[in-house]
Amino acid sequence: MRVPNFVWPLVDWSTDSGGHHWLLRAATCAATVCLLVASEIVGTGASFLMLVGVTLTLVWAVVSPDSAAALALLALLGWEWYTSVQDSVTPWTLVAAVSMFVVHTSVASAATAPAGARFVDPRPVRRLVAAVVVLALTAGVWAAGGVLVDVEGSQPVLSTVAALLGLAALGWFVRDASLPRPG
Amino acid sequence: MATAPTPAVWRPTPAHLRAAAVGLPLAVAAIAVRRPDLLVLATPLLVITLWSVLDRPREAPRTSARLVSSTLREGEETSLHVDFGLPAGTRQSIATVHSSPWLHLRPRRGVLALAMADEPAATLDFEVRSTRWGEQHVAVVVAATSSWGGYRWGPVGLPDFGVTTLPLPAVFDAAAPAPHPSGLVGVNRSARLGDGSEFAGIRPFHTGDRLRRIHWPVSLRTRNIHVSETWADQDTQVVLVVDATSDVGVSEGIDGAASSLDTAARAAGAISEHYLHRGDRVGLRIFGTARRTRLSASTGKLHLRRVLDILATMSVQPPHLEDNTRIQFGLDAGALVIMLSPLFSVTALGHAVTLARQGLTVVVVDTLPAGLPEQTRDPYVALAWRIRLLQREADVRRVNGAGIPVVPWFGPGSLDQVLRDIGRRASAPRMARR
Repeated sequence: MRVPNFVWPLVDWSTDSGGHHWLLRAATCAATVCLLVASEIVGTGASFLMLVGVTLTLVWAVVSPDSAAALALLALLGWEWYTSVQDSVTPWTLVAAVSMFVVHTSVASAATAPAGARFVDPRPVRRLVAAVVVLALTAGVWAAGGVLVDVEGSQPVLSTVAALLGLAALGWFVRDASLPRPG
Repeated sequence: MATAPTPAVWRPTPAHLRAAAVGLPLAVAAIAVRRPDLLVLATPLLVITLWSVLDRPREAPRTSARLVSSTLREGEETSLHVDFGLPAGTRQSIATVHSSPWLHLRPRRGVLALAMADEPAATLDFEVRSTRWGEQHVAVVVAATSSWGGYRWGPVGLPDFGVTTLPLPAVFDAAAPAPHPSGLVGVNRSARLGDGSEFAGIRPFHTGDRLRRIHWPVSLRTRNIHVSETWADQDTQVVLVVDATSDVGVSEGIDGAASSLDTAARAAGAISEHYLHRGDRVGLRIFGTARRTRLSASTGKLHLRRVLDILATMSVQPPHLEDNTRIQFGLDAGALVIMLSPLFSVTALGHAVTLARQGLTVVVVDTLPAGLPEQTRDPYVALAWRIRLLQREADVRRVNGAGIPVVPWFGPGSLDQVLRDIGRRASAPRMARR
C-alpha cells in the first residue's frame, strides 16, 4: 500500500520534536479542553460546529505555533465563553482565564525555537514567579469585578467610564511602544 | 571566530500581537456588554502585553561563534561555542547549527535554547563530531527573545565555518622490502654494498675503508686487518595513484560501511604513513577529482599531513566538469606505483597498463566493497550488479595478464606477498616499452 505524500512531513515533524515541545503541545491541548469543560459546567456548552472549529484551530496552532492559528483559537475560546456562560461572577471564570493564559504562553514558548530544540532553564523559579504574578492580578480583577457588581448593581457607570479610559490609555501606549526600533 | 554580519532589530512576535489582539477586544466587550468575566479572561493577556512592552530590550545582542578546531581526524570531536552579549530584557538566547551530514552534533538536532535572567552574556556549547573524511561546513543561526516571547531579535546567520576532516589512516604494515630502492638514505636494503646497518660479510681491509669498520676479532685471529661489510641503506619512491572517477558502495562514515572512495582514502593514508615513517619518499596522484590532483614525492611528518590534506579534498568529479581523468604522472624510474581503485573505470585500467609498460612497478589495490549485489533488494539491480562484476573480473584478468598484480585491501600485510614477488621478479630479465 502506498503511503500518501502528506504523511511524511507529519512523520518528520513528530520525530524531530523534542520532549519540551511535546510538553508544550500537551499543555495547549489540556488548557483548551479545560476551558471547554468549564463552559460546559457553568454554561450551555459548545455547539458541534464550535467544537470542530476549536479542534481544527488547536491542531493548526500546535503544528504551527508561530502562525495566526493561536490567535484564532483564543478568539474562538473567548467567543465560546461569551455565548455559553451567563453567570458573570462565577469562580469558573478563573479556570477559563488560567486556560487562556496557558494556551497563550505555551504556544508562545513553542514558537521561540524550532521543534527539535533542547531547552535549558537554569532558573525555572523565575518563570514560575512571573506566571504567579500574572495569575494573581487576574484573580484580583475577578475579585474586583465581583465587588463592583455588588456595589454598583446593574448600571456601573463610573467603573465603565474608568475602564474605558484605562483601556484607551493602555491601547495607545501598547501601539506606540510595540513598534520596532532600530537597535 | 564568526560574528553577526547584519544589524537586526527587536520585532514584535505573533505572540505579542495575539495577546494584544485578543486581550483588548475582550476587555472592550466586557465593558460594552457589562460582563466582568470577559475582563477576567482578558486580564492575563493584557498583563502579558504590557509586561512585554515594558521589559522590551532596547539594544541588539552581540553574537559570535568559535570553532575550537577546524581540522579533525575521522571520529574526532571539537567544540563550537556561540557567544551572546545580551542587553537587559533578553529572556532567551537560541542558536541553531546546520551542518553537513557527516558532522554529528550534540545536542542531536543542533538547536539549543537557553533561558536567561538578565545575565549580560551567555555561551551556548555544541559538540561537533566528524564521521567521514572530506570538507564539511557548519552554519550557525542565532536569535533571542524577550519576556513572554513578545519580541524577537533575529534569526541572524553567522558566517559559515569550514571543517576539514582528514582520513583516519587504516592500520597498515608491510614487512616486504620495496622492489627498487634508489635514494641515498633509507631503510630498504640495497642490492649493492655500501654504508648501512645490515651486515653483509667480512673482507680484508682495502685502502679507503673506515677504521671504525675494522673487525678486531677476525683481524687478531688472522693477523691481517679485516673490516665488516654492510649492505647500503636506501630509500625508495612510492607513488600513490588514487582513482576518484567513481565512488561505489554505501558510505556510512567511520562507524559503518565504507565505500570504495572511503577505502581508497584511508588506505592511501595508511600506506603513506607507513612508508613516510620508514623514511621513504611518497608522492600522490589523483585522477577523476575536481580539485588538486598532484603532490610531488617528499618525506617527513609534514609531508604526511600534506598527503592527508589533499586526500580530504578528494571527491568524485561531477560529470558536467572538464574531464580530469587524463593526468601527467611524471614519475621517476624505479618508483613503486600503488594504484587504489575499484577497477570500474576503463581509465583506471588504462593508466595501470600504461605505467606498467613504461617499466614502472605497479601494484593495484582493489578498493571495491564486498557484497554489492546483496545490498539491494531489487532483483533486477542485483542482476545488473552481477553482470557488471563479471565484466570487471574479465578486466582484472586482462590487467593481471599485463603483469600487474591486483590485491584486495585488508589492512596490515596487504602488499607483503605481492612486493616479495615483485622483488624476486626484478632479478629476472624483462622487456619494457618506453
